[in-house]
Amino acid sequence: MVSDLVPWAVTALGGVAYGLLLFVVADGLALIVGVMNVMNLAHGASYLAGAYLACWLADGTLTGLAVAVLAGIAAAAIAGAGLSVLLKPLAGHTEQAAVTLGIGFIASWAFTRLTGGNTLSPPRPAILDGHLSFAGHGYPVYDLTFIVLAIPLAAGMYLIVRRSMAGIRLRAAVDDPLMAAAQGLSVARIRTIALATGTMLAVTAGVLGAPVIGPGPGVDSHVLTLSLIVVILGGAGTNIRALLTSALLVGMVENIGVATVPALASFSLFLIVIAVLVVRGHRQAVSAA
Amino acid sequence: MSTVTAITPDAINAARPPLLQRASANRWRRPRQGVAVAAAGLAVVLPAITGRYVVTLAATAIILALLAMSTQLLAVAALPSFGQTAFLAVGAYTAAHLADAGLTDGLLQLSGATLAAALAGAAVAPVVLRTRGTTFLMVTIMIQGLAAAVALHWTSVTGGDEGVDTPPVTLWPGHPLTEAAYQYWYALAVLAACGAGIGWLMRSRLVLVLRGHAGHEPRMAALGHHPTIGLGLGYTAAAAIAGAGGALLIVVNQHAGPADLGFGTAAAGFAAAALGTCLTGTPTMTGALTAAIAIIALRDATGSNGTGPLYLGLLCLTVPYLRPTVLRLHRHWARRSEPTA
Amino acid sequence: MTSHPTLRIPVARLKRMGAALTVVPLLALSGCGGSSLDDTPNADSTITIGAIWAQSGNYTPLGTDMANGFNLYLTTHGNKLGGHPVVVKTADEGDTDDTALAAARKLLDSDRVDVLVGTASAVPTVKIAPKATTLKIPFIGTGGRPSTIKDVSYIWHTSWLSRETGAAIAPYLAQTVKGPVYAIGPAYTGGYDQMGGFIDAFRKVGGKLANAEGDNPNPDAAFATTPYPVTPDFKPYLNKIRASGAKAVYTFYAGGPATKFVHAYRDAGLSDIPLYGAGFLTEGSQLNPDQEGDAATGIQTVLNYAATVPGQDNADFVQTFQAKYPTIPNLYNVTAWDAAALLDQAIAKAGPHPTGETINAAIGTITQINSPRGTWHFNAQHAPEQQYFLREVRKDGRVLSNVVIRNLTTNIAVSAPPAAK
Repeated sequence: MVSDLVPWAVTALGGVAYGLLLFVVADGLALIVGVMNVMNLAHGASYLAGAYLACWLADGTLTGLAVAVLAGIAAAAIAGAGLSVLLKPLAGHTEQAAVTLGIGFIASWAFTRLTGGNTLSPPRPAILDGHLSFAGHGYPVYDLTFIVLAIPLAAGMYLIVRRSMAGIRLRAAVDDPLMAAAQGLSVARIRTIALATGTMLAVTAGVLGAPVIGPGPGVDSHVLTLSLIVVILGGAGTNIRALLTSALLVGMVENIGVATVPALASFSLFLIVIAVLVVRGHRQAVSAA
Repeated sequence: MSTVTAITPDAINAARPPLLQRASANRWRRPRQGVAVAAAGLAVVLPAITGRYVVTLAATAIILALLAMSTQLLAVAALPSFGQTAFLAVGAYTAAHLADAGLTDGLLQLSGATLAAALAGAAVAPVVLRTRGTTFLMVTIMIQGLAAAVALHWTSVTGGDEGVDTPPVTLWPGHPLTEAAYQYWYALAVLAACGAGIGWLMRSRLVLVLRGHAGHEPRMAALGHHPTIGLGLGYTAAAAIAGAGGALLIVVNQHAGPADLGFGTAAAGFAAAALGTCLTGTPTMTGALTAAIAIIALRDATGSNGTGPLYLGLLCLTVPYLRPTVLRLHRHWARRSEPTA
Repeated sequence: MTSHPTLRIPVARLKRMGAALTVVPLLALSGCGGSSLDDTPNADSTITIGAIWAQSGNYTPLGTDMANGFNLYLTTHGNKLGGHPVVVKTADEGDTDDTALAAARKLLDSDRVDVLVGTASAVPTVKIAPKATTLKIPFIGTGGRPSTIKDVSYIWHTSWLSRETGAAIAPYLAQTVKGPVYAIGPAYTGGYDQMGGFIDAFRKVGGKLANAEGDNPNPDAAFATTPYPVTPDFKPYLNKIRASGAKAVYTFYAGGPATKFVHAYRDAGLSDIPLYGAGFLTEGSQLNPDQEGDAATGIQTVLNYAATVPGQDNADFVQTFQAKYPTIPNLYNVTAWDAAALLDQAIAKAGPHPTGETINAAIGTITQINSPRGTWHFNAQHAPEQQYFLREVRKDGRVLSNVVIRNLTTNIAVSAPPAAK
């Protein structure tokens, strides 16, 4: 009996790792959408950039991984700030979305040129390579480590947003930009910080997640779609708890769900989103934006 | 092609007080009409002066233009949609099934595709119209993804990843449209007809209601307008326009497949509408049409060696800045000329 | 913004610019080619070849390999085929059949090529074939061919039929694996063809599958299917293999999904269950250290080429290839090389002013191609009648490579595809 449950337990664990990875990416997107009220169509490209960075810098040691993470954070901060400069002179959301779409196109072209269009799989740090075995069912040590690391990361983000002064300012800028400005907060600066932080989260997720969702052509739009689903379900802005719940739900559907009902594998997430929209009231859905 | 330029009143003119409208229209009516007539003439004689490749490309541009116009109609209501390809696909697969059943008549397929897409739009509207703004954009990306997944997996209806092949469309019995030039002229005629329809629509009460909702929804609701009904009608009309594009897809490609409604097509349609808006400052049909042609020319003709995404990206990165730059320069000139004036 | 008077002029000016933009690209494009109403094929001594190589998207590595193989033949043969100077026009296959069709249209309608070569993916050939056939331009496919192409009069493949690869290894697996085999592959035409070809042949020789009922959304297919084009995570699918009691696994994946699958297979702790696959699983750049790398060691695959195939033709080819490129030649290099070799012979036989029609007729008369993979000839389906090899991924010197370990049955009779997909 127990041996029957092992494959399900291992699959569920896979769902947790996948969900946590999505949480990090989607949290960045939720921040950008919430603060800027701009759909960042280049968010998937940010993940992809991080994942490629991991492939170039990771050398099978923990140091290599750490260097990749730091390089990713630095590059993302610059890119995010650059993006905020690019978006500043544009008045409408349509114009801003078009610019992010353009960045996404150029990024995917550049990545294909630089990598020859190969789907890469970076070496994992030697200590974290290999897998644990549960009654003949393996589970990668790296993914397990990722779970262990992501939980305090999520908790830390929750605390920063809820308790710290920076988090309070951020929430003020999301909830009522006019009032925040009237209180003397620089909304423009908060927006730049939100874009930089959101991009940093996506790039970091890419660096750490490259062995889970490896970089390749098409991965950008795939990651974008998945994080969009999380943001639609969990709401844009700074509601960390709701985002975490919906990211874990998506992870579970992509693992347990596809194993139970393979026929629905390609549709299940879309159907869930539509079902949630139907059930959720009009007002709630609007206020999520 | 530019027949639309001639018929469609630009959104900005319609929204402007009559006096100002007349002043600006008078000043630019002649050059605009001249360009419109020249472009229309060029569009009609295109097959006589270019090769089959350009003609097929122009027909493809017409399909993208209809997709962009469908997106643009929703943009008028401040609803940014990424998912109009879903209705393009409904139209295309409907036309394909009609053709499969032996009904190769072009006009029949066109009306069938438009009707089916409109019905699909009406069915989806209550769900997607629970959202607005950026969330609406995200939800329509889901609609696009769901439609693409359905097209890929509902093999018995859509032919799976290979899609469905169809016999050539006929306009009168026994004369299939196989020549690229005739296919193009048919597509051009459909575009002109759709343009006339959209022109009428843009002057209609419905578009006023859509603009009203875009401007201030609670006030519209207070005036007794039900948002879901008004916007739902707009959504249905937009779906019908995309459906007409789907029928043309069958005419030009004699094939419908999942690639026709993939992320790439959706992104091109969205970009065409968005860049059109960037060009003219408000969501206009002329802008969408212009941007669709520019996208096809850059992505397919110039970028056929794998550089298409780069060109498309550069287009998206430059066009939005054209207008603010021109406006700023103009303000600069105006300020400089003030003392002498 | 509408009430500001100074905005009037720029708005109108922009509109005018918009209309002008409409005209400019059309005028620019109208320079190429005469009227679309009189299309005459060009007939001069220079042969124009249209090559559809993937230059963007998932098939880019395959497109690059094919372009390298084709161009290598041309440069080592003085840029002439059959005594005629050759001009190659290329267009990007892209990721979908839409982009591939756009490429074919450009080459056929704008560049007026005499011969069409290329495509890595099998799917777009269905769309390109009728167009080439109508224009009487031969299409030499260098990638897979789906079982759904009906009229092959102008369609030739120097590569393989999609149902053939699995069929070639089926008897061997039925003989050597002591127990049921688990079959898993992607849910699209290529997957159904590749896996269907294996399963039909495997069952015919008495092989038993380990797959449980209901593992597959499509009841017609007996293998476990994973979503196409993207399977986010293979683990949930792989976690079912242990419980199925399988003694071996057979699979078909190519490109990015192949890399992911091989790593996920190791991570799922299935290394004690031998993994067999269609050769695309480990072909070309797949074995690079930043792709499958050591995780691929020991995988046995079936394919119609490997760099270690015996014979002088292959030895010469490998030497010529490695003089120019730093990699080990792979099947994609060879199918494109063979396409050039085929055209070399055919154009020589196609008269003083070869056209698409005469070249096509000449291809039909060719009895033998001396290929690096061994000599082959066209069968009735216009695809190679050829030898298949069982290969194993091993360290060959410092790099991993596919090493031939035995020949597999020749003359595979590929069973007809099922009536309904």
